[in-house]
Order: sequence, then C-alpha cells, then structure tokens
Amino acid sequence: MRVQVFSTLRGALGGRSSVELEHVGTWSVKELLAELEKQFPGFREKLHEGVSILVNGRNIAFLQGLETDVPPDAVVSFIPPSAGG
Amino acid sequence: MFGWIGQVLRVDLTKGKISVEKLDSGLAEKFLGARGLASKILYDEVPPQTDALSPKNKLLLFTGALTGTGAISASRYNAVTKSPLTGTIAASNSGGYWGPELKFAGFDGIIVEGASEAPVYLWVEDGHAEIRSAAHLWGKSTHETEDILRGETDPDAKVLSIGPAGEKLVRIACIVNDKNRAAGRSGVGAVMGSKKLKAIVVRGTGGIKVAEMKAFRDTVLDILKNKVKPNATTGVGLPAYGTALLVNVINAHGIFPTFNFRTGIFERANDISGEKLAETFLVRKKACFSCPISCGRATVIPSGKYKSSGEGPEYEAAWALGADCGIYDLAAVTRANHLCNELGLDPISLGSTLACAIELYEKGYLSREQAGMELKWGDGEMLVKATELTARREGLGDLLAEGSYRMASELGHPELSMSTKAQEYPAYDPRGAQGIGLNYATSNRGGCHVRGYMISPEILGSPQKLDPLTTKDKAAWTKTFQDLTAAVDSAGICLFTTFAIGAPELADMLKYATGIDYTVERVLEVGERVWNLERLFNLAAGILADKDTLAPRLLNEPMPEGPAKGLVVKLGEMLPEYYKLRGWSDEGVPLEATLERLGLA
Amino acid sequence: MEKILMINPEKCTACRRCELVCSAKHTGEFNPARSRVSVAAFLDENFYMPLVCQQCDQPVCMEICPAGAISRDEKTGAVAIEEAKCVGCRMCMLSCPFGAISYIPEEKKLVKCDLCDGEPECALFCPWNAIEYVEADQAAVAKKRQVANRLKDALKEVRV
Repeated sequence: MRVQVFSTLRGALGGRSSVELEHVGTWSVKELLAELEKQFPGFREKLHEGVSILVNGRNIAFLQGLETDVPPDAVVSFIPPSAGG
Repeated sequence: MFGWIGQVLRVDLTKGKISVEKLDSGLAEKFLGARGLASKILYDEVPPQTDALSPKNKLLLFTGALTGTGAISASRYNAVTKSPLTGTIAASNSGGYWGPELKFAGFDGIIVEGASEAPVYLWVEDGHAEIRSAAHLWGKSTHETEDILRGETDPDAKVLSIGPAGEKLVRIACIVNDKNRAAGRSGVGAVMGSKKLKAIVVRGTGGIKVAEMKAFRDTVLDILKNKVKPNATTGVGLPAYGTALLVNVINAHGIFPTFNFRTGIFERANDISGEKLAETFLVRKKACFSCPISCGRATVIPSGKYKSSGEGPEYEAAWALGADCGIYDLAAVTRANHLCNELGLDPISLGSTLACAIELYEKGYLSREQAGMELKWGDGEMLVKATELTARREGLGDLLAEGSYRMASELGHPELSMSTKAQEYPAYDPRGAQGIGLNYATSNRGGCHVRGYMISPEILGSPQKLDPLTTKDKAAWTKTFQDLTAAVDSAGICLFTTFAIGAPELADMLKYATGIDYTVERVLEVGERVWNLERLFNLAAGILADKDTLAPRLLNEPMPEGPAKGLVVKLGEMLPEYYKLRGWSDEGVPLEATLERLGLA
Repeated sequence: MEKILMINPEKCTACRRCELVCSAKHTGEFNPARSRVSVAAFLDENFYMPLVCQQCDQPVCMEICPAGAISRDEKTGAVAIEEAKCVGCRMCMLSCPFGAISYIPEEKKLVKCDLCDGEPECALFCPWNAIEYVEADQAAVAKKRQVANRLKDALKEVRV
C-alpha cells in the first residue's frame, strides 16, 4: 500500500511525500497508524487536530473511522487542514 | 461617515464629464459596499437586457465598508457590471493595494458610464479626477502600462488596467491591478475595453475614520492573534504553500478535473502542486494590503524558454492551465499564468476553454485548419502560445477568446463546454462533491467556486464535515455559504478570512467600523439581500431557472474512477429544496414575501 | 535595558499593516500617508522592508536641529520632536539617513516614530515579526545570527 502525506505534514515521513508499505491481509487504520509509528517514531504526534485520513480517497470520517479497513493495495492519504481556491 | 468615505465618483466617458456624488447612507447600510452596493446601483441604473459591450452598460469599481480600515485582510474592491461572458450580473473581486488607495483618495467607488471614442485613462488624486489620453498605452501589457502611468503621475500611485485582451473585447478578459492581482472572472476586462478605458490610476493621502477606534482595534488584534495566526490554514498552510497546496489534496479526493473533466485524478498532479512550486520558482510569499495570510506567490523562472517573473500560479490557475489540459510542465504553467496577468486574461476560463478546444480537436469537431495549430493534451508550448494568441484574438485565439461555451456552440458541440451560464467551472469536479455542484448550478455569475465554497465543508471539513458524495443538507449549507460570502464580498474583506473567522467576527468589525448595530443575523441578511438582488437582475436579463443546471457530462457521465466512481451530480435532488429554502417559486423566482422581507420589494 | 525596533526585511510581506496601525494610533484615522513607519516595497524586485526611525545613538537630526526641538525621551530612549519648539525648517527630515522623519504640510508639522511610549503598535500588529521590539543587545545578537545565516546560504549556493 502507499501512504502519502501533504504539504506541512511532510516531516512526518522524514521529509518524504510518500512511502510504500508491504503487508498481506487487511489492516485497520488503527493498525496502520501503529505500524507507521514503529517505522517513523513520532508520526502520530505530528497528526495534530484537523488532519484528515483518506483511504482510497474517502475520508474515514464517512467510513468506519479508525476501524476502517485498509486493503493491501490501498492508497492512504494524510492531509493537514488546508484551504484555498 | 465611518468606515465608508461617503463619496462616489461618476465618470461619463461619452461626454467626458466627471462628477462627485454623495454616497447614499441608507443604501450603504443595506448593501455594505463593494459587490452588494455596486450591484444595487447597477440594478437601478442599467436595464438588465442591455448589451454588455455597449456604451449603455456601466462599470462600477467599488470598495466595501471595511476596505482600507485595518480590518483583517480588508484589501478588496469589486468590479460590477453586466457580463459579456454570461449575460448575468458580474461581480469580480480583487485585492492588492488599489481598493484601499481609492478610499484614501476620498472615494468609496467609481461609476464609469458611456464610452470614449479614443483610448483614455482616469487619474484620481485626493478628491479630484481627470480623463487623460491613453493613446500611447493602447496595446501595452498591464505591467508596462502600470510602470508608464506611475511615471506620468505619482511614484506611489496604484494602477488598475486592462491588457490587450480587454482592448480586444476578449470575453474572458480580466481587470488587473498592482500588476498581479485581478478581478478575474466574467470578462469584466472586456467591458472596460469596450469603453476604451485603459486604466484608472489612484493616489490618496487621506484617512478613513472608524466609529469606535478602540473597540475596533481590540477586535482586529484579537482576530489576528487568536484566530488567523494560530489557524492551521490561514496561519501555516496558505502562507507556506499558497492556494496551490490544494492540488494534491483535491487530487487525493479524486475530484481534480483532468482532461476537460473526463476524470478526477491527474497522475502528475504533484508536478504542478504548491509543494512543487515552493521547491522551484517561489521566491517569497506576498500579501495584499493589511492581510496576515499572504497566500500570494512571487515567482521567478530564472532561465530557459519560459524565463519570466511575476506571481502565481494560484490553485485554480495551476489546475486550469495544467491538469485540465493534461499539462504537468510547471514552468509552462507558471509562464502562462504570468502572461495572463500581463495580457489581462482569466486563467480559469482560458485553461478550461483550451481544454475544451483540445477535446473538440481530438473528436474531429475542430479541424487542424480551423485551429491553425495542432492541439494535444500535455503540451506546454501550445499552452503558452494559445495564451498569447487569445489575448490578441489571433488565429486559434480568436475562437478561444469567446470562451468555451460560445466556441463549442459555434462548432456544434456546446455539451463539451464545462460551464454553467457560459462561465467555466473552477477546479473541483462536482460529481465527487455534490454541494459544490448545486453551487455551480445556482451561482449568480455562472460556474464559480467563490460564490459558495461548499468544498470547505465537503472536502476540507470546515466548519464541519459533510459527506461529499451525498446530497443531504447540501441545499441549506449552500444557501448559508452563498449568503455569508455575499456579505464578506460586500464588506471588502477577503473570503479566505472565513477559514478562520465567521459571521460573528465580521459583524463585530462592521459594527465598530461603521457605528451601525450589525449583528450576525443582519450580516447574513445583507448577504441574502445581495443574492436575491443579483437573481432579480439575472431573471430580468432573461436568464431563467432552466439555466440553473450543469454541463451534461456532470449530470450524465459517471465519474470513471476514484472515490466518486460511478457518480453523477444529483442536481434534481437538491435544486427544488434550494429554491424552497431561498423563498423562491418552483420556477426559481423570488416570492413577493421574500423580497418584502429583504427590503427589495 | 533600552529596547529598539528591529527590522527583519526577509520576513516582510508588504502588507503594510504597520502603516495602518501606526497612523490609527497617532492620528485617529487609518491613513498610511500619515504613518511614522513605511514599507519600502520594490515589488518588481521582490524586496520589501519597513523603514522606521532607528533612534540612533548619535542622532543627526538632534544635532542639526537649529531650534533644539529634538531630544531623547529618558524612559523609552526614543528620539522625540518637541512640537512647541519646532520651527518647521525640515532640516531633520533632510538629514535623516533613513528618511524616517515626515513633514505634514496641512499641519506644518514634522513627525517621527516615538516608539508609542514603549509599546509600539507596529511591532504588536506585524503578522510576521518583520518589526520586533527587542532589547538592544538581543537585537545585535539576532542581527549577527541573520548575517551569518545569509553567509552560510550564500556559501552553500557557491558550492552547488
């Protein structure tokens, strides 16, 4: 699966904009967060209030929240509060 | 008066006559200024059936009650006129320094009427104005014009002008001020061009009074320190990456229109993103007058065939000139954006019209001979060339200059124009954000995001999260966003402040600035009044409810991939409820009771 | 310890809020033309910085004033013009190397920054700390660090 972070969150993945994670079976978002914390210590701390988590483009707020399934081929996006236009 | 200056300049270009009028304080209280007040004056003085490019149309440049006062991000003026692109009322909003300078020069607004025979410019200085020849400026870029005019008048003067596009009556021409700020949409630059008015130069050394200085100051300080600066968007994201930080965000949501809205995901989005711009051409962030957000991007392409300097691209421009045309060469996109500022073109409509032309070409509806050049997705050189041609109405540019709806209609395929009321959509595919679809359909100036930015709740989660894929509650939210936005625009502050503040803060600033007892309810009522007045203008212009619709692609062709895969915009589920909440008939006409309630009867 | 206004040009965004709040505080109106601080904005060159009186240790304006109208405020250290003594000759304005003194023709008055009696409004409102009110020795250290940083960046560029 691919994990991507945008703009001000880039520090969370050590300056990278995305990483590939290999795993078999389906994780929950909660499990994914634990894995990211393991690989990138301090990751969770950087997810300050207002960060949106998308699984394949859908905000988990409209799915099952932290229990949302993350299939092995998913794209997960972490998005800091943003606006513009 | 407090907040307002209390004077309006009227300029009759046919007769060469200038007069100074008192601002009607009753109207100012009801409509605030800028978009609202100027729309009221236009509605009263210009019959809505008037040909937009005839001398009978008027062009109003108006500031708001808060413009220049030190209120938060209070740099705005509005260009209000009948649009040559949409046939609706047009209100295009711009920041920079020009609006505040007009108030320092002693005027809340300028009403330009008639048309001059030869090119002229207007020189406004501390309560006086004169019409001067612009023969030597005709054909020049907005940047050249500004430099020359400052040399002729005052080194501290602020300049608003049109480029070659406005002169050539390009229907997607904008008005540019302070070189890189634009009243961008609805072709307001063409109206200025039709009047042979090249520029308005302003210098003022006067002041603006507010009713309760201490309370006003303390309110602004509180907003600045406790709301705008600590906010993750207005205090961090926008200053660091500009509006183009949305490129990756919107693409991740699968609603980043690509290849003329054929899909909502652009594989190379990151190449035209705010992050990429920050790594490449960004020199520094830049603010409009009194704005703590500073989303402006001073950009320089140091070398190569696109070598240039200027500002932007902003998010919408990066999308229109980029993804919508399949282009991911950021240098070409940035150069084309600089050219839009210099030549006076709206990059949203230009990019979207070019995308439409590419699709027409690809499908064989536009021949190589008619186009005069090959058109293909992803070609940066084509983009830069098309930008120059459009501004001068040469070759392919003469087609593009009409905007996508007229161009596609002329070629027999209006359905390929991604527009409502003939104005091109901005950078959000409504199939994956239903509420913005309702806003596009009902916007009083056609396809537009800054009439009611439903992306905020649907995608960005502010002020609360709404599921973008459903239609539930979208009518009510759209109405509220449209009304608040109309009030914000009329007050003269920037819409971007609303990511950090809302109606309560706006009401407080207005109250202490003007001394009038504005409340949240009154502020929203002003917005609703402005919205209904604009609607009345459009109805009288013959633009009826059947035009409250979307391009057939968005209503009939399901999104092919991403989170909104399989969806179209379910406009029929939202529109009747919207009319009802607005207090309009099933035919979208404001009911007598609604008009009475709003003082418009 | 005396405090001074430290200017950080690289932080300025040319928003000119300093001009607005300064004029409001001193004249009761929002009027940049009457501000004691002004932003020099070379927009084409992407260079902007606030210009304001540096309250020099040996103020040329004070030395040159024929009326003895300029003196140092003991409390804030601000170089102040005493209105009653000022004869309006404008020598101070002409001599200031920073262009920090303005003449108001309507009032026949010369005006300059008075540090708002120790609470400068411009520094309080500047959204990016392009103007900071700091202790003088702190300012010197910060300035040195800035110069060192710029040098470091320049050297980096040379190496690339």
